[in-house]
Amino acid sequence: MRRRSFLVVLLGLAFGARADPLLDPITKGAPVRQGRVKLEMPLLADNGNSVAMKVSVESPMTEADHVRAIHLVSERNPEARMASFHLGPRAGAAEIISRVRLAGSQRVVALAEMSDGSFWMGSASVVVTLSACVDEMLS
Amino acid sequence: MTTRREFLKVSTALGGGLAFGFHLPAANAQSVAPEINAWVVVRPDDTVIIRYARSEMGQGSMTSAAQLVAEELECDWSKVRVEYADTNAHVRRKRAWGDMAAVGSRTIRQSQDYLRKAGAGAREMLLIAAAQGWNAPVAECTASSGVITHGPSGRKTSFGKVAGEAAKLAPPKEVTLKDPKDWKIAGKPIRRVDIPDIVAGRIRYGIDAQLPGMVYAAIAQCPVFGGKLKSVDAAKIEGRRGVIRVLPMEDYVAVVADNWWRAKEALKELPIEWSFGGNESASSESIQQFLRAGLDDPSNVVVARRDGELEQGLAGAAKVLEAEYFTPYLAHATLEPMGCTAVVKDGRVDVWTSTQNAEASHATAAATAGVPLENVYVHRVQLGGGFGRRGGSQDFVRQGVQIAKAMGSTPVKLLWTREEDTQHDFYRPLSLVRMKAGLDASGNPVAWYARVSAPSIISTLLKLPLKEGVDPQAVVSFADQPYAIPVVRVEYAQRNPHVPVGFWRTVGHSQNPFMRECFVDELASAAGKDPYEYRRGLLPAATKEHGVLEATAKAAGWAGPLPAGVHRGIAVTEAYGSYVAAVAELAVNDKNVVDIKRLVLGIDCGHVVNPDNVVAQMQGSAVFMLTAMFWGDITIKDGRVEQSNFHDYRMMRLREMPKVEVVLAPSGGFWGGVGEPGQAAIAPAICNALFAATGRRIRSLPLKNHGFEIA
Amino acid sequence: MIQLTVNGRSREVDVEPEMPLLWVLRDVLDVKSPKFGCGIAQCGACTVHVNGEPVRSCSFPVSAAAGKRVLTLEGLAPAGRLHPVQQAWIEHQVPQCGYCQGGQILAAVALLRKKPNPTDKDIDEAMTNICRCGTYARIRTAIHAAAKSGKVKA
Repeated sequence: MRRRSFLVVLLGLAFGARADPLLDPITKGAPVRQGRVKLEMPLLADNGNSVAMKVSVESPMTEADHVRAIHLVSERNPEARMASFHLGPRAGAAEIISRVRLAGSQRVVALAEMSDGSFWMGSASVVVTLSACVDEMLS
Repeated sequence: MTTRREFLKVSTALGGGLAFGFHLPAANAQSVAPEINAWVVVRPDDTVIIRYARSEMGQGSMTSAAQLVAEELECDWSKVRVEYADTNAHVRRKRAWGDMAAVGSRTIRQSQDYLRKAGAGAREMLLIAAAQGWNAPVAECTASSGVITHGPSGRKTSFGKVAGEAAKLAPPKEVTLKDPKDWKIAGKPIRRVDIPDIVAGRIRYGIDAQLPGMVYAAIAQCPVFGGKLKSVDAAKIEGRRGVIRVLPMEDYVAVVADNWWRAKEALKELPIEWSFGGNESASSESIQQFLRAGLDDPSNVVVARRDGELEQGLAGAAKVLEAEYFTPYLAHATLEPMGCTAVVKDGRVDVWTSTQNAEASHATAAATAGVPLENVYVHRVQLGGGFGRRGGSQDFVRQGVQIAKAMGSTPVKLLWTREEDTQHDFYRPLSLVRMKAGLDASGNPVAWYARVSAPSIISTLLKLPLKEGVDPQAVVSFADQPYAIPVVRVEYAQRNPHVPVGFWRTVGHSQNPFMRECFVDELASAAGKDPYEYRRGLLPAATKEHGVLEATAKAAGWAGPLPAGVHRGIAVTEAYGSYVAAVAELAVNDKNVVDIKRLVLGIDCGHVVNPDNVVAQMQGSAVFMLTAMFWGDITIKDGRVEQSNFHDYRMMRLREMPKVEVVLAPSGGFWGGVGEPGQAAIAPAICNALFAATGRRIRSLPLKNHGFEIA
Repeated sequence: MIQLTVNGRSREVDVEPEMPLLWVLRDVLDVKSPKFGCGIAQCGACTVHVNGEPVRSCSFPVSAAAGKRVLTLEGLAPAGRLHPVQQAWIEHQVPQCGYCQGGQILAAVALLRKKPNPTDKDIDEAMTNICRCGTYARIRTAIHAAAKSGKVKA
């Protein structure tokens, strides 16, 4: 690696930017902080077709300070970006209840995009029990 | 007044689901003595409870897994009792016991690391507790056979005496594991911990669940796959003795009665109408045509492996061979049919079922009953055979819980008949494969091609996306073939008839090595070379395939003379991380009766935890595969399975069992599976021997379709 | 009412006379060792002794057991002791899943009572029970071992 690009990478790391292929398409490389986002999914699902999920984000949901969007990202589905929910102050509470399809056991990330441009995340791991037979083969 | 919770806690401590009148062997309960870690409990009387998370279906893993823990723990094996990990505690403790699936021949190889670490960690905690009690450095203390000794002073104590204190300690951050060459418990042919209960009639299977007030259900499912229930005329059986309810469900109907025989007999008299769903004209012939189209259709095909250019490779060959091979649908035929006992009461679900994945049963029960995971209790039992039927599909649990829910809070035992079991299986997929190979002037293969036209288990059963459209199970042994051939092309044409498919013991390795190794034999024949030497020449010398092939051929005395009329066949393959080879010696008379004189089966599974159990698995695999290859054939007519019971789906008997010699050739250094690999090399070894004996190339199974019978 | 003696204990059952003995034992009398595998006398997992003879109880009406002695695996040996066949089964680690083994053991006991020193051919003819796990080789070895022990009483 050439010295210049090496320095650029070092500086990038020093400022807390991380290359995250899963989340970068949404955050465009902006820093993502852990917290404020609670993603609840069952520990075990008997199949991946329809797995319950609930996302809640701590936010006053005022004009000045609200959740702009909640994105659901899968680390294993063919399409990593599972869903995006666009919210505004009139939503009242930043809470989504839905069902998602999972291509096997994996970690799911809920990414909240705030009105001030910041990103916060929470995650949950789901074991899809019927994919147990092939978990090794599909990773 | 005792509350329900207190009552259950007490009865658990007494060693059994006594609250439900279900008698379990004393160790089979979540113990209340101090837990050193999730895997190890030590009682004050020095009894060591080792927990087992997966299922025991005769593959012996319950014992082998405990051997690994005990080895590092340095306990007294005679004081060990093995207990199942409780699925409810598992959920509440955020999956403290990890994967619970006994599938893919991977219980030992997948869990060995964390099991050994658990044993070592517990040992360290016991040592520290003892050392603290003596005010001595822990480095001066050693553990052996459940006794802790302080070297310099000679003071001794036992695990049981320090367990209470050890349980309070934090687990060590790091542990060192023993070198397998130092093993004293693992690596030894320790007797299986469940055999005494089996032999005394104490062991309990899912079918044996017994609860007060329990009723029984028999079901009929639509004979044509994919069909739905249209109507039943319950009035016709309502007055029959013992009949309680008739429950029409979406795709089956259940008759509930006060004993199972009455339910089953009543069901036979129940008029049922089905909406067959559109597949009622499917037949084995139409399915064969459908698969053949997969071989010929250039469009709907994905590439699983591509080394070099096939057309070029074949064009440059001195000789080109081509052949098509076929293997049929097979049923699991576990001796215990499918079933599930369940009770849904006050938002709590209790389930007793023979399952290869208690976690999956737990999740299915929760989803079916619509209750949180924390409200489900899956009670662990021995399985009357698994063979892959009870892992990837939990249909029987879904049904059992549905019926229990419909019966209010009354416990219900659902049991399938053998006919339902045979006709509502998730079958080993059929597969039609075309292979081509080009040989150079010396007879060595320079190009090799295989196209597989077959269903996809992963797509249809698990409904998971395929990477680049390839189902690894459908192309295994082709896509990863080990021979040094410069040009290799493997293609997959996914063709899914309406017949449900699933994981049958050894899965893709139950059929693809048969095709590959028989075709390699065809190449050897065309090259005029000995089939053993031919393979040896093509397998890089450092490979494990090479090693196990040599060891097996040597044990079989491959180059030596044979009695008149006796002929040999050989095969080798990888399967489930192990390497297996087989040599078959047989004679065929003029009535096509095949007398197998000797079957030599070699396995290199890396490390061996219980050598006697590996031998047992190889012997059992021989019976399973010989049964399949001589008679196994699930055929379809009018959209439904034609076979129904053991009179028309034949099973091998003791008198037909040939002499089987097992060659354990472990090379150490890795962990290979044991439950399934044993089957993989048998069919090609036998068919290659049949060619040597008769000059007939067998390219499809079962052998009965070629007029062969077993002696 | 049908009376039969099961493992030494007199029992009375109020069931249809055509109800198979297997289901009377399992569902009415809570005797669990005889198992259900096929229901058509093909597999032998349901094997019990009726007046000392091995019988496939799934296809044996309870009326045919009236007034007779029924023996199941639980009754083979007095509490705390093992029959020589059971001992041989443990010595040679015969069972795998174990589901068929109650029937196998009782079939073996019946064989040894008639032929205390069976040949392989005798074993072939008597031991027709199905074992899906494939323990046949060890069943044969264990029967020879039990015979050799000389402890099996006719």
